[in-house]
Parts: sequence; structure tokens; C-alpha cells
Amino acid sequence: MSEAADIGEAAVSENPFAARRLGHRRREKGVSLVLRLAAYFILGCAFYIFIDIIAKGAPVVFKAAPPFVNTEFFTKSPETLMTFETADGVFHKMNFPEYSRFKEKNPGLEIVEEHSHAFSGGGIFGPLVGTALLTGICIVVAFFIGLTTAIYLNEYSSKGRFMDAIRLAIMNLAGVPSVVYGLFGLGLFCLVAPVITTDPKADALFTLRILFTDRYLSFQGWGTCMLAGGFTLAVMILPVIITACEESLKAIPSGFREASLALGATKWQTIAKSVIPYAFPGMLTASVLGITRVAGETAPIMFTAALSHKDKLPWEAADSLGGFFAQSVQAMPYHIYTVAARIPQSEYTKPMQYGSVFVFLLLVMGFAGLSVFLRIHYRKKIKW
Amino acid sequence: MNESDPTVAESAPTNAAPSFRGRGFRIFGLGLQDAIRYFFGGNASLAIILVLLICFFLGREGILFFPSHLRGLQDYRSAGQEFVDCLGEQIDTHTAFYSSANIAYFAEVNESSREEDEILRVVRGLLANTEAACRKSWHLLKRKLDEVSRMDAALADLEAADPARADLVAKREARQAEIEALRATLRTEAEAALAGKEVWKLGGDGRGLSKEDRERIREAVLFQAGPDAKEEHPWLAEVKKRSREKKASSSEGLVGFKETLKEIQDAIRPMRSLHGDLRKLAMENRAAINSYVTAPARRAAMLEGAAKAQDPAEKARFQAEADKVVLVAPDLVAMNAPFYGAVPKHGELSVALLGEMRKLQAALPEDGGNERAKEALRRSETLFKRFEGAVERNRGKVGQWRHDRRVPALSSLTSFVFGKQWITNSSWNDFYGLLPLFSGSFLIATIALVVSVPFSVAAAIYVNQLAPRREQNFVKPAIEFIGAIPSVVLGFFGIVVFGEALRAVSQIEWLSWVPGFPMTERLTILNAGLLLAFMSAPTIFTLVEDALENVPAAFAENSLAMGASKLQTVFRVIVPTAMSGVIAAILLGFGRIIGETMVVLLVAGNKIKIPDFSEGIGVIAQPAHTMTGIIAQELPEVDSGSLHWRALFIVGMVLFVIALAVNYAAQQVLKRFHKI
Amino acid sequence: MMSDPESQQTLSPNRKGAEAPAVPSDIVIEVDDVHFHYLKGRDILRGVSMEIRRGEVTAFIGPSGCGKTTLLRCFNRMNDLIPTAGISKGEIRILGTDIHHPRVDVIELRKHVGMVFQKYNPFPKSIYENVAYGLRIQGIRDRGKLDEVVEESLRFAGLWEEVKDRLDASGLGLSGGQQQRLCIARTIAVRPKVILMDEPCSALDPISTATVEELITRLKKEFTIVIVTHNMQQATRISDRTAFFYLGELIEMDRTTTIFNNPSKKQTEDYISGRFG
Repeated sequence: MSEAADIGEAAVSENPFAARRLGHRRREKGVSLVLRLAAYFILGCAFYIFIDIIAKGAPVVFKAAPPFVNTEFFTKSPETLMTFETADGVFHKMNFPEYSRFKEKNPGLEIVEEHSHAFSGGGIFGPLVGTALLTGICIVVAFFIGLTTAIYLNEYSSKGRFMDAIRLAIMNLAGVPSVVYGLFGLGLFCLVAPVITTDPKADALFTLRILFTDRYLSFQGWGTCMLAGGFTLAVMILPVIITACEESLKAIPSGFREASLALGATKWQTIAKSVIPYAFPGMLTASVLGITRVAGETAPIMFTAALSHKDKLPWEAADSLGGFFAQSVQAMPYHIYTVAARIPQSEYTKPMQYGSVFVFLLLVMGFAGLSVFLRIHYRKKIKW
Repeated sequence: MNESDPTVAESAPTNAAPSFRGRGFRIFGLGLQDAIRYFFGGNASLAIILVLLICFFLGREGILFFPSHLRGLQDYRSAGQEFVDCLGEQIDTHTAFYSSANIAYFAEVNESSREEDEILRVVRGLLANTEAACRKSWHLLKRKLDEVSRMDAALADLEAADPARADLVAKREARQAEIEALRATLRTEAEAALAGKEVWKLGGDGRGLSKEDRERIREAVLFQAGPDAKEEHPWLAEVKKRSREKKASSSEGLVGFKETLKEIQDAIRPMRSLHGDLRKLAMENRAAINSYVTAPARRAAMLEGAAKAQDPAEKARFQAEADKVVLVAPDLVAMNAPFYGAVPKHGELSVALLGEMRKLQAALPEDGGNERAKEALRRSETLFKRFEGAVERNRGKVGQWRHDRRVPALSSLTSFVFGKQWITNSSWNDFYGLLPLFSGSFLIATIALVVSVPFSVAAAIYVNQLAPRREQNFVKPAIEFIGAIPSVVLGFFGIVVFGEALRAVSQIEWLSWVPGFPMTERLTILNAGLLLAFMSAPTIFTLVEDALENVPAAFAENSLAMGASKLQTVFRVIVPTAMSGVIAAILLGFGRIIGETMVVLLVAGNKIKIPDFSEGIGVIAQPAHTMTGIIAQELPEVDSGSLHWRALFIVGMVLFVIALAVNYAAQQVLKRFHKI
Repeated sequence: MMSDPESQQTLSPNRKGAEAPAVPSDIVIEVDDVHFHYLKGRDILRGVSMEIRRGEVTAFIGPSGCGKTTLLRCFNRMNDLIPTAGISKGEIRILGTDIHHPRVDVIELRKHVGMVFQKYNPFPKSIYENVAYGLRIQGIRDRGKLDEVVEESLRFAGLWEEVKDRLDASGLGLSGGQQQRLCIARTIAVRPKVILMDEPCSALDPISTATVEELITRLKKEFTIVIVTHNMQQATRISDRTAFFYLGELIEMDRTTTIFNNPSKKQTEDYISGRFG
């Protein structure tokens, strides 16, 4: 080995550049292989999880005969599943409403081996609707605040204490555990947020009478409702949206702005006409990414919006717009939590579990895929 | 900067020159552009407001929690519960010691009949599985049998009276025939089931059994499969008898051991009865104190009811109720007198107990005859030490206990942070101690990091430095894609698939050297840790990959130009340069993991107890609870504003502080990174 | 490039036997009709042939994009890092060996053919570790040997007196000129035969440039140096021979005095007199 240092003095060998330590090279290959295996091990684990869920979930969602999709699974809300045997040894499996009708129709029927499986029958329509509503509210709120914040940070602000404080706040918000957001949402939106009402609650933080009316602005909270859940999720996702929006704004060359300003446009005209339109694809990607993150969260909506059982769909239960947003909803992640851990397990709960997880995973991964696709698509398309 | 700022263009316009004066409306000297600017600025400052609001909402509960927690602690002392729990600890440590010794005893006794017990166990399992396989026929047969027996009873009643019952007899015979047929079906079904492998897949599989034994087991199971199998299969009966006999004969040799065990149990009796008496008293005391504490509120409620009531009778009733509420403070001295009275007796009992127990412990066998017994005896030794310590310590504590000593204000905090118990909704006393939750969270996060970091860092190095571009373009998004898997899905996977799989793996014999294996539980620290490792891998991967990406390409070029190989370049130049980025990534990953809720809630086992570290690394096979999990689990079920509710908010605050600290540390590390 | 196993077996004797008379021992690098591309089908270098002699400083000059840096990076095969790039025709022989021969290990080659870059780039390690890096990657752990080589190299680079008290300080704390000299010290620590320099002074102030230039003239006693420069005064100051490149072709190569005083080609004259470039 030490001769390597003496090359300078060594005479010109026959092939001075011949490989020296062959074992060395083999070791390099080995180490490289180990690193590579680590990467593929992670992917392998993911693959295993996906395969397991697809293999057991797809049969619930699809079927062999037309229309090939289990429509009941997508159009009904979760119900209690009853399994029982009649005296003649015939096995029955039906949802609770059908079961009551069946019993009414056949009075005096001897039923043996009767079991009820909560949340295992019906479908996942209610949770899907709830998740869509929560995600929708969240994205609207978060996107509005996130976009304006990003514009301020990137277009208006100059360096200073205020900027540093905002950046520090955003950075810290990004690290807060989701369950803490849940606590925060419960404390702020459910228990303290202001409502306008004629009949304020006694336990409101404080109430203000609105002038010339008999209404009060009462800080009594919105209660457990989809609005509270959506806002909580919006707060949680805010750092992600801000960062993504800011990045897409940063990607706009400053020449665009300068050119616009040089033509006599005002600052706002410049931003509205020559910055936002070009940054829009990036922001779109950001919001899709936001949907991915938000749709999968359980902890923040657990205390603020979700409930496991609800007979009516949101639009059936509400009589006014305010009432619509003021009701709690079922949500996919919470539904999965319920069927996975809060009900007694049996073979009849499995289809519901795997079906829900399969559909949910497909949805979330679909959105994740979409965000990746959009990012690549626009990156290819836009060149400046 | 402000191109159209009107104040700038305040120069006097002339007719010839164009006016640079700004147009548009102004309010309070603010132009439209300023208004827009402030609108955006206002939205941006929301981020700061949110952080402050989070601090406020968590902090408010904290400020309210500690005084009421202190009050609870004081009540716990005033009621004498603290005194009683001193005795309780002595008894609990004794019980732990006794049960461990007991396990050793039964391990010895059962050792002799292990083969027979194994056979019986397999038979039991097989029977259950076979029954499940032929469930339908089994139930049908059972019903038919019931019917027949009912008919028999009816026939017996009517026997002499009514000869016209011939139809019933015929019916009965028909049923009897059906039963025979069903029996035959059942037998074929059972045979079919037993032929399949599925049914034999029990814990242990009966692998240690000989072929003849297996054959005989099959026969015995078939014999007993029906619901009407009256007598036991003779071979089975014989096995049972043999097992009993062996046990009896081996316990003969262990008479001394058994005797000692019995004496150990007897030794604690007096202490137990003292504890029971005092416990009852303490509970009454606590109830009295609680009712005194809540009295003003109850009285106020009644008075309010009286004020609101329209009906005079109703009003009077409320008033009477209100007057009934006792507002007199309970006489703590009198209430606690029995405890002071019990001190000398307790002292005597403790001394006697300790002396007795030392003798008895010495009488226990030195060494067990088999592995399990040895293990249990070893354990009982440490447990005895713990017992001794508890007796001594609590004797002192009891002697010095004063019901009216003030609980120091600080202990409201310390008993939360260092409290070893988290007990809520208890009829005795609620304890809010963070340690069981914190240790669970911390252990799980540690395991997750230990597993995740090597994989994700290695993967990041490979993808960023070594992989060909095409592979890079595939692997990188794929791993980032994993980050989008919702945690509740992973938790579901852990509960339904991974837990069982992990337990099965842990029971493979040649893996028994792994600490904690074989595992008896499905939902454990290890399970949660591994899932979180998987979950945090994309986070750490992405951050590390970024850090590597940010290393200037010139470093690699320089190193390569010196004749370094690719790997030498990576490990000697690029990774060290990116090191602070890697450390920051690990820190942020830790923050992510410790704040993760759903996976731990579903998979960690939710047992609120400090994991038993005496098993070393084997502790990972135990279930645990976590800070995030406890909030998610308990918060929906408690009244808002209660002490318990506030305690959960404080746990949230601890999480928040940890998150901030981790973030801060990561930023500091990164700052150093940017300096170079 | 040959991959015939038979010729592999007999590479060295053959080559030596065949070319020993043709190649005088003071020729270190021979470039023989080299065509080079970054993307297949688009040659950046077209038919470059030259000889570089031992113990001389050879300067490459020419306008931007003329291929001088590309050729320099061919000498230690740094261009291998670009996946699509490669030599389309011709060969480069260093010390009589075709550097693209399959038996040539690129890592060994780079140990013999060191390189100093335009932007000085010490590793974020201590000064000592920077210089010792080349030895460490060769597996040398003997502290005494390392100390000796580090001191020798730093002395040679004229940096020893300035840094001997702070060898453990970060190399990034030095001034620009010092950092570049540290990089040169790092390169000479492994005792290469040839040192390639890619505009080593372009990022330095005039005073630092002077120090580095002075160092280069000292270096040529021990090493063969090829330097790419934009600065024609620099070329006249330090080089013995100069090669002028234009649009991927070697226009002219001769003694530096000849090139600058009496160039044989019109393009060369135009360039050095500042009419283009």
C-alpha cells in the first residue's frame, strides 16, 4: 500500500494505470449493493402492504358480474350487519333494516346463532361524503390564507423582524403533532369561536350585542361540526400550502415582474396579471398535495368534526346553509379507525375493513399520484 | 420600491410635463396599493397569531390544571388515602413475589406431565377448530338433540296417561333417524376437516408429538366432535389420568415448596385485613371531602332552580334541597384519627411480616428443575428485594404521615411530570403521571428511529449518489409516494396483518435469540415502532436526500480528480459535508414519530404502565401507551373543563413543547450546515 | 477502443515494443487525432493531436467554448462523469499507455494525473485532512508518514509558514489564494506525474494570482503541468509551450515565445492581438 505514495519516484511501469486493489473494487460493489437493497427494502415493504390491501379489498369493491362494481358499497352508509341462522339451518347475512323487515315478515321464526356486527354492513357513502366536505372546506380556507401569505412573503415583504417572525411561526407550525392541532381546534373552533345568535349560551367566553338588532355575537364555539374540522385541518395544512405556493412564486423569473412594472403597472396589477397566472400550476399542485395530506388525517377531526355513526347524509339532515355546516360528519379515516379498533372483530367485519381501506388508499394515493403528475407535467411544459 | 406611491410623486405639476401624481382613492393617507399590501400582510401574520393561539389554548388549560391537581393531591392526603396506599404498596409487592414463586411451583409440577398436557392442549384446540369447521351440522345436530330430549321429557310426563301420543313417538323416531344421519354427516365433515392442514395449525402445531400420538389424537377428536359425545374417548381419559397422576406424584416431592407458598400467602393476611378496613374509611373520608368541595356549586344550582321555578311548591322543594346541602367542613382530625391509631399496629405487623417472609424466602428452593421454574425463581428473588424495600420504606412513611401537612405547590408539577401512574375514572383516586405515557412514546420513537435511520439514510445515499438516473427517477418518487399513505391505514395494517405476522415470526425457534422473542402479544411496542419506522422512512429519506443534493458538485469532482473511488468520495467527502443535514433530518423524523397518533393508538397495545425494563431490550415485546394515543383515546370521553380533560391538554402541551424543541434543535444544526 | 482479449494480455510489451523508438521519453501525454463529443454525433473536439513534454508548463488558450477545458478533462477522464460524453475517435496516451484501454483503471489514472479546478474547493475538513485526503483514500494510516507528506506538500505549496499553527482549522477559513494553494498542495500530496489546471487563477485577486503563478513555476521542476487559461499574459508569464484552440480544433502549438511573437497562423495572431475572443 505504501508504494502508492512513492509513485513519483517509481519507474514507469508497464501499465502504470492498472487497477491495483481488486478486492477493494469488490467491496465497493458490495457496499453499493447493500445501500441499494436498503432502498428496495423500503419499497418492498410498501409493495407488500399495497398488495395485501388490494388483494383483500378489491374483491369487496369489485365483482365479476356487471356493473363490476359493488354499487351498494358506494351508495350506502355504514350499518349494522346481522348474521343468523334460521331453524332450518339456513344462514342469513343482512343489514339491520332488512333484518327488521325480515323479522316482521316472518313472525314466529326461530332464529339461532344470531350475531350483530356494528358498522360491518352497508357501504361507505357517508364517510366518503364527509371526507370530501371536510377536505373541501379545508382546502378553500387553507388555500386562501396560504396563497395570500405566500404572496406577501414573496412579493411584498422586505427582510425584517416581522418576516423572521412569520417564517419562524410557519416553521414551527409545520412540526406540531396533528393531535395537538386536534386539541387546538377543539379549544378554539368548537368551544370559543364566535357565532351570531339570538340566544347565546351561558357558558360562552363572552357575548356582544350587535347594535340595533336582537342578535348577539357570542363566543361560544361552533360545537363539533364539519366547519370546525375543516378549519382545524386548514390550520394544520397551512405551512405546507404556504411553502408550496411560495416556491411556485419564487420560480417565476423576476424579469416578469420588472417588465410589468416597467410598463407602468401597479404592484397589484403586476402580481395579478404577470405572476399568479404563471405560478398557478404550481399552486394547483400544492393544493392537491394538501388534499392528500389532509384526507388521511384522523387525529385533528376526531374531537372536532367526526362521528362514527350517522343515519342521514349531511344534506338530508340540514334545513339551512348554516345548519349544513354546523353538523358533524362521518369521515373515511375515522370510519377506518372505528372498524379497525373500536368494534369487536369477526370474519364479517373484514370485508368492510378491507373495502374501506382499499377505497381510501386508492383515493389518497390517487391524489398523491396526481400531484406528482402535475408537478412533472408543468415542469416539462413551462420553460423560461 | 413603491412605484405608484402617491407621496413620492408630490412634485408640482406643470401644464407641459406629464403628471406623475398617483391616481386613485386614498383613505387616511392609504392608497389602494397600500390597502392590498396590508391585506396580504394581515393574512401572513395569521401564522404568528396561530402559534400564539395554540400556546394560549394549551397554556390556559395548563394554568387551570395545576391548581386543581394540587387540590386533588391535598385531598388525597387529607382523606388518608395516601396512608392506605402505603400499605397497598407493601401488599402489591408481596403479591408480585408470591405469584412469581407460584409460577415456579407450577412449572415444576407440570414439568412431569408435559407430554400429556401437550396432547390435551392439542386436542382441545383441534376440537374447537373442527367444531368451527363443521359449525352448521354441529348446531343442527345440537338442536335436534335438544328437541329429542324435550320430546323425551314430554313423553315421560304423559307416558301412562295418553296412549294417543303415538304420533309423538313416531315423530321422535323420525328425529332420531335424522340425528343418526346428521351424526354421519358430521363425522365425514370432521374427518375432512381433520385431513386438511388448516385445522392442525394451532399454536405449536403438536410438532413435538409422535406419529402414533397424532393418529390417536385424530381418532379421539373424531370421537368427541359431536355435541352429544357423552363419555370421553378412553385413550383421552387415560392420558388425562396419567397427567393427573404424574402431577400428583411430582407434587409429592414438592410438598415443602407448596407448604412454603401457603405460608407466604398466610403471612400477609393480617396486613391485608388492616389495609381493607382502613381503605373503607379512607374512601368514606374522600367522599365527604368531595361532597364538601362541590357543595357550594350544588347549593347554588338548587337556589337558581328555586329562583326560576314558577310553582311555589316546586320553589319550596328546591329551597329545602338547597338548605340540605351541608356547607360545614368535614372534621379532618376526627376522620383521620383511626389512621394515627393504626400506626403502631402497622409497625408491628410490618416487622413481623418482614421477619416471617425472610424465613420463608430462604425456605424456597434454590434452583428450579426446568427453565421456566428457574426463570420464575430468579425473578422472584428480585421481586423479594423489591418487597423488602417497599415494606421498609412504607413503614417509615406511615410513621411520619400527617394528614394536615400541606402538599407543596411544586409537587403539583412534579407529580405530573414524574408520576408513575396514569389512572383515571377510578373510584379510589385519579393519578395523572406522565411517565408511563412518556416512556411509551419515547421507546416507540427510539425503536422507530433505530430501524428507520439506517434504511432511509442508506437509501438516500444510494438514490442520490450511486443510482443511475433512470433508477433515480423511479425510486425517489416511489419512496416519497410512501409518505402519502395515511397513518390510519398503516395502523389498520398493523392491527390486522402485521401484528399477527410479527408474533408468528417471533415464534420461529432459531430467532429466539432476538430480545423479546417469542412474543405473546400482538400489539406491542415493537409492532408500533416498526410501523412508525416505515412511516418515517420517506420523511428522513427526503430530507437526507435534499441535504446530499445540496452538497456542491465541486466537492465530488475534486475528490474524484484526486483518484478517489465513487464510494470513497461519498463516504469521506459528501456524507460528512451533509452531516448536519442528516442529523437535522433525523431530529425532524423523531419529531414526526413522537407526534404520530393513529398508528400508536391502534397498534401499541394501549396499556398504561411503565414498560418493565428489567427484561432489557426485551421490553419491546410489551404493550404500552403513548402521549398522543392517550389524548386521542380519552379526550372524546371526558367532560370539558374537568381535571382529566385539562390533564390531557397538558399532555398535548408537552407534545407541543417537544415538537418546538426538536424543530429548534434541527434549525440550529442546519444553521451550522449553511455556514460551511 | 480495443477490447480484444488477446491485445489486453499483451498490452504493455507490445505497446512499449512498438512505440519505444517513436516516443522519446520526455513526452508524457500524446494526443492522437482525438474527436470528442458530449452528445453522440456532435463532436466538440475535432482531430486534435499534440504532445506534452515532461517538466514543462503547457498552456491551452482560446476563446470560450473552443474545447480546451474539454481536452484537459479528457486527460484524467473526468468526462467519464457525463454519461453521454465520450471519445469518438483517436486516442490519448499518457506515459505511453492508452488511457481508454480496458485494463486502465480510471482511479489509478487520476492518482497519476491530478487536477486543480477553477473554483478553489477545499473539502469542509481541517487543513491537515485536506492535504492528507489523497493518501488516506489510498489506505495510508501511518500518522508519521502522513505528517511528513502533509508538511512537505504544504511547504512546497508555500503555505506551510502561513498555516503550520492551525493545521486543525477548517480549510474553508483561509483566504481565496490560500485555499487555491491548499488545493494544489492537496493535489501534489499524492505525487502525480501530471497536474492539470483549469483556470486556477480566474477566481483570485491579482496578488493571490501572483503567488499561485509563482508556485506553478516552482512546480514544473517536479511535475508536468497543463494549464487552461483565459489570460494571455499569464500564459506568457508561466508557460513554456502554448496551444491555441479554436472551434474544437488545435490551430497551433509551439513554444510560447513563438506563439506570441511570431505565430504561423492568422487566427492565432488575430486572437492574441485581441481581435476576437
